Amino acid sequence: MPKAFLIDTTRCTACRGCQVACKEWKNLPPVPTRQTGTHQNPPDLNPFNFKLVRFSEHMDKNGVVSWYFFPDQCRHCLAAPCKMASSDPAAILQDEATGAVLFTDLTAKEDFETIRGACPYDIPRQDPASKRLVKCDMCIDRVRANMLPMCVKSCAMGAMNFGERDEMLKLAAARLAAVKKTSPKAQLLNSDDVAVIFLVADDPLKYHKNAMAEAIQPMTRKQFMAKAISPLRRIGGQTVG
Amino acid sequence: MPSETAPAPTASRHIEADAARLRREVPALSSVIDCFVPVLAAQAGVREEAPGWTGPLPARDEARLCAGEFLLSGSGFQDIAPCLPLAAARILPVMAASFPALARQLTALQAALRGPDAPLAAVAAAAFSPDRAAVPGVSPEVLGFAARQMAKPLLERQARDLAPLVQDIPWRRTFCPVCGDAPAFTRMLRVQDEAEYITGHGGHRFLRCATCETEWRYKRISCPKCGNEEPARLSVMHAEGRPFERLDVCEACNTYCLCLDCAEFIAIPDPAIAALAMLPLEMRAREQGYAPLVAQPWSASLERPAA
Repeated sequence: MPKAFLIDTTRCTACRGCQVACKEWKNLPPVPTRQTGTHQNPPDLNPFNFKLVRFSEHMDKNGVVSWYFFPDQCRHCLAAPCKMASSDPAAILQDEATGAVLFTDLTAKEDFETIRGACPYDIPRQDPASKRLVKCDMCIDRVRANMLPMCVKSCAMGAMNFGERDEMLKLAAARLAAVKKTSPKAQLLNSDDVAVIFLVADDPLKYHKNAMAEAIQPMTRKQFMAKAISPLRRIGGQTVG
Repeated sequence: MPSETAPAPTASRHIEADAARLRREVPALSSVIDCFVPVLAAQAGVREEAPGWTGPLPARDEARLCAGEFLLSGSGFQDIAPCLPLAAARILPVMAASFPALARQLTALQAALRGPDAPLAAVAAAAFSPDRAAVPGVSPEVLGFAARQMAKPLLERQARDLAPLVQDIPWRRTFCPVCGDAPAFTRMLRVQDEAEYITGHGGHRFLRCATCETEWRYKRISCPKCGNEEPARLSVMHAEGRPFERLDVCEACNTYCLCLDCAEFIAIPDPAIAALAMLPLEMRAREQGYAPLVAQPWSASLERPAA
């Protein structure tokens, strides 16, 4: 049974419990960072932060400033463009039971920019040491053991939800209807295409420039060409090496 | 009460799927699983087929309930005797296959329940007082064991119909709000609410009735037998690698109660399978001199602690 997240940003207080819990469960090392005038920290996803609560401030016409929180992560697309863009079918897998999109060690041989460019949400990052591509794996070890992903377990506000896809879609529809009463612009982001469904109360661009995919294209022309020549590139690499 | 939907007709399959998972995770329990899971699955089937509470529901007296008087305190459950042939046909053959040493007696009991003069009332009584009933060719112990297994799903089905009558009563007692029996199992459940404040990760604690499986909310730190709330005299036993299964132990009354912490689960395991998974913990607790609040069918014969 495919699984899904519902991330209800209207309930998120940006405590970053999910961000820290992800890092702890994955035993990811600390990342040097500095104050840049925002509570968003680190500034972006990186090879050691697969989950990031993005902060955005917007002032309305009355001078009232609103804070928007967006717990960004891999969307585990139902038809994953990163998987389509990979040259080796074994490099990026989609777990049949859960729908999780999983990067394997073989991603180290993939062209990082091609895979990253294929993602409409700009999620993949590359480990500088191993050259492996990395991102959220839905806590597949936990999910296979019937345990909630760490980010969901750690959420004290009920913003993060996880379960069977049909149940999450029902919950999403119910929450959307409730939120719309006070926020008419509320919407679910790409709910037909992804396994990580965000509920936002306002224009998605106010949350994050990649909060929503305009339209998920299976492959851009550039990615298609990159994929087409990747076997040649690898042969060339072997010859040179 | 936790807001769970009524079990689907697939309850038996749910039990079998959870049992298959448990078998993979704890192979040492395979023989116990082989014995009891077919019985649990058959009971789930009977629970779905049984008529439940027939006729008008009992009157709900909120004042008496709030004063601690359980719903059926004056009347008890409806007579289950008419439903025993259904339960016997579904459950006794499965029990006979699961417990070969009892097969002859269980077959005799099934035959007796099929006859024109079936001792339905006596067998129904045996579920509660095995010493007061007799069926030829069946020992009182086997009769009591079999009668309880047949009666359980019938009573649970009645209680399911009665649950709405106690749903919103602030019942915080150590006994069941429907039938007054003690809890045999407890669960920590995260209940989704619309609160706009931070909620605890652990969820609420629910006690589960040994007789009718009604669940009600209870204090997290309090012995469900004696009410002891001294933290120094309440402890938890769990096995390495399975922290979600635990025994809540009270040093004041030397009692333990099974507890499943569901806070991290995606799918909540069937309570009976979860209880079965805790058999090794129960053995440890008995060795240390603790007694169960209510014994499970598979743990009833474990050595009793010295008085």
